[in-house]
Amino acid sequence: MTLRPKRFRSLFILGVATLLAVPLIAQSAANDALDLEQAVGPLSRVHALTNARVVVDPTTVLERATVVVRDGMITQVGADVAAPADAWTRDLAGATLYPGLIELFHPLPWPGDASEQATVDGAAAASTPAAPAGAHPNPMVRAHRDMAAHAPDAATLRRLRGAGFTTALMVPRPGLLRGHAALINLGEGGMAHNLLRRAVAQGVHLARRPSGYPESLMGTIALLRQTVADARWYADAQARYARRPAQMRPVYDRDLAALGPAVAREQPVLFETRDVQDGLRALALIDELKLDAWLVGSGAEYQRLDAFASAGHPIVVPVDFPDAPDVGDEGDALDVSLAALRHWQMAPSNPARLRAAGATIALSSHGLDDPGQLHARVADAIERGNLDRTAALAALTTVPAQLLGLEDQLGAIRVGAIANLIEMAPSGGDLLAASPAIAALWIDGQRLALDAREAPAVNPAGVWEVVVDAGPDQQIPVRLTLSGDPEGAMTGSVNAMGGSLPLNDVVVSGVEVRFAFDGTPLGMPGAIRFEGKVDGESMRGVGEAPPGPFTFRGRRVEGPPPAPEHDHDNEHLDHAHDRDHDHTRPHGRSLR
Amino acid sequence: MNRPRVSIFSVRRAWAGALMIAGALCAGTLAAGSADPVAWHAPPPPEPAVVVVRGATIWTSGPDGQLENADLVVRDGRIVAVGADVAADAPADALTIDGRGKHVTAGIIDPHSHISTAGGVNEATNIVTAEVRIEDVIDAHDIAIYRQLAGGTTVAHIMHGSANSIGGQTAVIKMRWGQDARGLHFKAANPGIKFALGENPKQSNWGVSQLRYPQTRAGVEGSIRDALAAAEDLRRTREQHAAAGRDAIPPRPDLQVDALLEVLDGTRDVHSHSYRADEILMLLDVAADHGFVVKVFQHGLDAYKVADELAAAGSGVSSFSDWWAYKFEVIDAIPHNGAILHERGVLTSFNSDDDELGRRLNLEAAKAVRYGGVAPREALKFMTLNPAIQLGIDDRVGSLEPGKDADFVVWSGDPLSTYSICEWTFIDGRPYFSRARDLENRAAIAEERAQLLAAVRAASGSGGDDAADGDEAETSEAPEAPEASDTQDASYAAEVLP
Repeated sequence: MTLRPKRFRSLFILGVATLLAVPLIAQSAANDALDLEQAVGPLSRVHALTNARVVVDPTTVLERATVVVRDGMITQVGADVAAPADAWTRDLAGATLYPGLIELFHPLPWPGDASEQATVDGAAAASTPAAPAGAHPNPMVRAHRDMAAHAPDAATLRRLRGAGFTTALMVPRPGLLRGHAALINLGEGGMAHNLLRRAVAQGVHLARRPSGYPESLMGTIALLRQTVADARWYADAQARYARRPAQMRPVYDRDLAALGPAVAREQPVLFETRDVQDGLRALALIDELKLDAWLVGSGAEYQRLDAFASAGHPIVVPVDFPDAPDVGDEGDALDVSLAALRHWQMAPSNPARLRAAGATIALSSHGLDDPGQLHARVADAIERGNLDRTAALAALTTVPAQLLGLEDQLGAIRVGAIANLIEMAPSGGDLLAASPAIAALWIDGQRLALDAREAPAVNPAGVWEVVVDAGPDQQIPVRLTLSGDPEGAMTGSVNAMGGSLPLNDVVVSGVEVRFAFDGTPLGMPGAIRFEGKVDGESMRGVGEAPPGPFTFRGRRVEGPPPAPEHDHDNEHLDHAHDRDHDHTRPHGRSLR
Repeated sequence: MNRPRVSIFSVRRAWAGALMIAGALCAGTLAAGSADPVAWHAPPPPEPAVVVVRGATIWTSGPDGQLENADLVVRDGRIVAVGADVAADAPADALTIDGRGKHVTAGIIDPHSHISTAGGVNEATNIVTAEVRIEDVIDAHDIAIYRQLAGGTTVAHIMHGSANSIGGQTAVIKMRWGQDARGLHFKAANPGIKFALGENPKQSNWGVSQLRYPQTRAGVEGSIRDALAAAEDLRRTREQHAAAGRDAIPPRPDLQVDALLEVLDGTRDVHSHSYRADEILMLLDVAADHGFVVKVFQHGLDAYKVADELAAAGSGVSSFSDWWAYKFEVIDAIPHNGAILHERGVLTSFNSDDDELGRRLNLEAAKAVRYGGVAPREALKFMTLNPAIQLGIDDRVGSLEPGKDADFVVWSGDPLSTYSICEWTFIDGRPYFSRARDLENRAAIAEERAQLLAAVRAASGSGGDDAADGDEAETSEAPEAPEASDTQDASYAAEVLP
């Protein structure tokens, strides 16, 4: 299926061999990576995806076309396009390409909260944590947070990719004024390589504190109202002080300062709502406080449709429709309210009703246990809820791209756009099916294969001596350390060039172990991926680096830790659990 | 009584055609909407241009007193005539109710309620929270609205709780079941704010884990005086800034102070939770020192001891009819409180402070007859005109007089009798509750429910068997804050304390 020019294989071998050998040969390794790139020319990242059915955008389909991806960009799309001579060619006969999906609302816990609570004096001062300099006195106001400062973890990336998302708007949580959302691609290589735009929106949510002001919803709203007034005052005070320094300077407040763009309507607020009346409260506050807003809906907007449609704010609509209530017997049925029954029946029609009423909607996986449930719920919205298929796809691609002002870069397979694509398996070409067969994602022109993860059958924890075989006479020794629980999260590192690089995305599936690390420190921007089969104390497999593929074999020299006592009852329960929740795909679709 | 008998119908004959449609909808006596127990699903009630009740006993709560065999005529949501034979030439397509044997009263007004609030009745953290607003958190889906509507209650004063000496801003709603929170808001009412005295704000019996200034009754007074003085300070600072010249940095905005300045300016009425007479006198002094009048002492169970002082100050009382002995500071409470206050010239009302009691407040009025012998017509005013005056809405509601909103109740008999039933409740001339319609609609709801259950069972064959997410799945990051009315102190403390 894939033809790879031999030239690149040898370049890769040269690259890896040279890099790994450098510290052994010369102390002045730092500059050699640059020299290497000059020596072998830029690492080519050109791909021709041929004979594919191409869903250019929700209303345009090319039945048999070629898409050329060069250096992360789509450079050619069409039926008559010839594969460039320098391209890796991938024949996608029978397969379909879609634009990558865009998630407009994905809240992530702000990792800085622990440090913000940290004290200068250890346990003795634990009851009186020192506030960071310039922090707003109320911890619900954390508008300064910048999600661009924190890359999402590998599991988050894997889950979102599993649903076909190639781009997501990440919003810090928790809080009332939560901080700046960052738009990122979901590729490998960390935040620096994937950040598309920072400070896209300011997150808002009418949350309450467990204790301390504000503990009531009305207190939360009062705090929001006061803080917005304060932020406008702060901007005005700063301007006055700049013009007239001969007066007492205003006290620095990093959070009021960070609200400047939002209160000046240069930045929308991304207003999360928890139920239909919360949504109406949000609309009233947006109006009263004179803000630009994108609403994150609750899923019950249909109950007060006119209010949401006439307000004119774009709505990010969740598809976490309620499961069927438990009405197994008469007693159970009595416990289910008429309101709950009606909501169960009506919820899947929420997106279509909002559209019909004239609202601009984007669909979101927010609220689902796993983003991988997106497709089943969108299929529900189409079948039970009468949502137009074209509109459903647009609500995940072109509409969010337009809201972001990035319609030329995202949401469609067009020349000049970022090469974010979904490659369907030849067996199933419909992305809007309840369980679509996504073979791979392309993010910034890099292919990330997807496949199902199986329950772990081996424990690869321990230290491995691995030899990367990049071709004849090119065996590169690597030391690999893996630790953690194969059923849950594993971490690890690879020792190369005398340094230790952290692994991300360590997954155990059946007898396979997969992991990757960022090749940037080795002069190869992008992920270097390994996929090995473990057999007792040995492992062998294949891998892929930005310049090309390789094979590897390894031997465990330490570990694994003693196998835990096997609890048959628990095992039984675990398997029963898996069966019951099969529709939620507990392991999701993981990447390798 | 000498109202000119000019026909109120002749000028609008041209509307007759338009009324035909509404008339067709309203032809039956069962015509009324809102019978659905789920607010957002409730259809809007009919909007008859003309409503007529013929031949009823009408308790006007106004200058006309009680009228026998009288008619009530409503047009476009307002009362246009009350009296004998005033409906003689009503259009044939008017929504007509045969009032013979029935009694009609103004809609009942509950001057102290905590229904339909979302996310907590108290912002119990700080001692002063004048910046929080009940209006922000009205829960238009609370079934208590419909239940109270079914008991003739048409207006409620929704109050912040009593955990703080100066609590939040209050809101007045009309029970327009089915409308959203904005649709419930009764904009004509005076802005209000909750104050509270005594055990609830001082919290000295809540345990050391809840220590907060103040811990004494004197401290409660101090906290109120401090807050008002701080507000006056900020006002002076703001005035000084106006003269401070170009590019001077203005004082930071303060929404708490803004509300307190409205109190000082007399544009926001104080409704103060209170029990003991000494504290009532204390707040009268504080108000006098700052030049405002305490509009209403809520509860005020010891108020009978200082009735003359209250009358002289112009403060009203909204009392419980007969609650006593539920906490030590009400040990002197007596059910004659209302009658004594009324007799001594204090504007007096009763209230529910309770979701359930709020649906039978006609019987609370009757207790003023039972305890103290208040005349029945005057006793009914404890639940109609008097609370309307206390809330600043007596030009709109509270009595059945031409020009007022057509908020009225049709009772099966004497409204002060435990045997009487609320048959119709009108707000703005629209039948928001009809007992007959409610009963009739139950079969349809049962049928819908059966169909939905069948659909769920059919779908569950392939779907999950998880419990329902529910209508209002709570995704808040904070745990549910305790919610309590400020009278049920035992449960209140238990819920607040971990």
